[in-house]
Amino acid sequence: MLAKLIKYDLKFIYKQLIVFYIILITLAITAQLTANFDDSSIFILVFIHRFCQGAVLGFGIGTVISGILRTWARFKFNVYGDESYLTQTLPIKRSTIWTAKFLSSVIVILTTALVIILALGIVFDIPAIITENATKTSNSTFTIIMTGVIFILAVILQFIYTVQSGFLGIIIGHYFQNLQTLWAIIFGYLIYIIGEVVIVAFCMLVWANFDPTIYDALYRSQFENLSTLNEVLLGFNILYCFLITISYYASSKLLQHNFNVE
Amino acid sequence: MPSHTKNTKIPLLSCQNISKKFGDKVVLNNINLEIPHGKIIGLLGQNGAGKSTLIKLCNDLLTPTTGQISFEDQPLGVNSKLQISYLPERTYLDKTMRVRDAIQFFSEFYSNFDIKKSHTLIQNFQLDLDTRISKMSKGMQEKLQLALVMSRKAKLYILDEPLGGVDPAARDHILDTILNNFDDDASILISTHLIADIERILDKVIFIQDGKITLQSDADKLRARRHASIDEIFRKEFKNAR
Repeated sequence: MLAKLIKYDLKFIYKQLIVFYIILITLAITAQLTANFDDSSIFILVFIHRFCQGAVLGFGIGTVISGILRTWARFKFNVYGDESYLTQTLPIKRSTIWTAKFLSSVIVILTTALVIILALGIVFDIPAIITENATKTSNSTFTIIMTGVIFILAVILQFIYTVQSGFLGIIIGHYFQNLQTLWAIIFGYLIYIIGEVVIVAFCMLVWANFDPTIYDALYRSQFENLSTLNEVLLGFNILYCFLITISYYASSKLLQHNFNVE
Repeated sequence: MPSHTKNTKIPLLSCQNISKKFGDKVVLNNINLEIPHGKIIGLLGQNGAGKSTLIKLCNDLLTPTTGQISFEDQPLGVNSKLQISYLPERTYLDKTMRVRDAIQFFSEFYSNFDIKKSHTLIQNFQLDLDTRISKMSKGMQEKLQLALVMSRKAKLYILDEPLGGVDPAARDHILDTILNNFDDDASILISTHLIADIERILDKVIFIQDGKITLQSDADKLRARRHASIDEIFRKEFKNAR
């Protein structure tokens, strides 16, 4: 049943998101095809190359935002709105419905991240960038790649936490009788901000006190080497996983307590 | 086997001391009722009486403020949702789906869904399998939902205003569809304010007003006692209440 729920969630979300993916890849391919004309005198080709290069970055961000908004909309309408009259009367536990929503959101974020990475990989010569940075920073290629992977993971976890904050906001918002959407936005934003404050506060007030290299990195923006940056990013990742786990269980409990559709 | 050991002695659905408040507003107040096996029950009341709220509580869409609801003596849950087939008063299907997608959805989630029956009912309602739900009129959407709901082999069918968005000419067809497509052992709970249309099929009636049950009776006995139709009794009861 869980797999079926996820299937229908993803069908709904990807119906629109797939258009964004196609446009993103098309822009990336166009930028790459016109890359050889960047130094040429044919203005239109130079323009197309530069435009598509920039558009990949901008459209990538737009794709992420669209994916998050669509996921939130699906959650609200499917769990509390008109469609909830079907979803909530399926012979499935409410906890299973919640797990499906959580996993669907994670899959959407992961696939969106993959498409963006693919698009960026098409537009920019990633191996050359890695080699150039390895030389400049006297680090091995492996270390540069690891930094990139850990950084991308941090961004993905940040987006997953953003979606979860929205879900929890929607759940809390529906405890109110009126202005449920407004309360959902307020609580979703508050939960997100509190989570970010907790992460920063823990790192700067607790972690930095025990590790001088972390102290230098966070308070003085001085990184001894790339390993320190990796350490900081890994710390963020662990904390995001912790926050996501807490918000998952909080949402699951709240969804089953005093549940009321719109 | 002695008859008292049959499961039919346990009511299908039981509401005990059910109250529901939204903030300070009391929508349902101390509701007690039982739905037996093999009966067609009319939940009758004016607009805003609490019919839909009670039905939503019976389908676990709302949490009661006080009291409890049980299905065959068990709390509402996965089993009750499998055995209750619910038709809400609104469109609850994903409107981007086509009719065939909705059939597919129901067949995937409900093990007691009869695909062949659904095709027959949809054909009877003259609906096209490839039409998107968003392109259908309200009446057609309601017919589609009714076809899907009645295609399940459930123990209890809960229909909230099944005639609401349907033209008078189609109401008899809808009622015949309801009557012809459920097992004798199953029960139907129909909520409506269009009593004249539905009265001929009712075994039992429950009147609800301002969140309270004002009358529960066998339909024939009520007619015999009051020498009037259910519709006339309803009009008189609620006219007096004003």
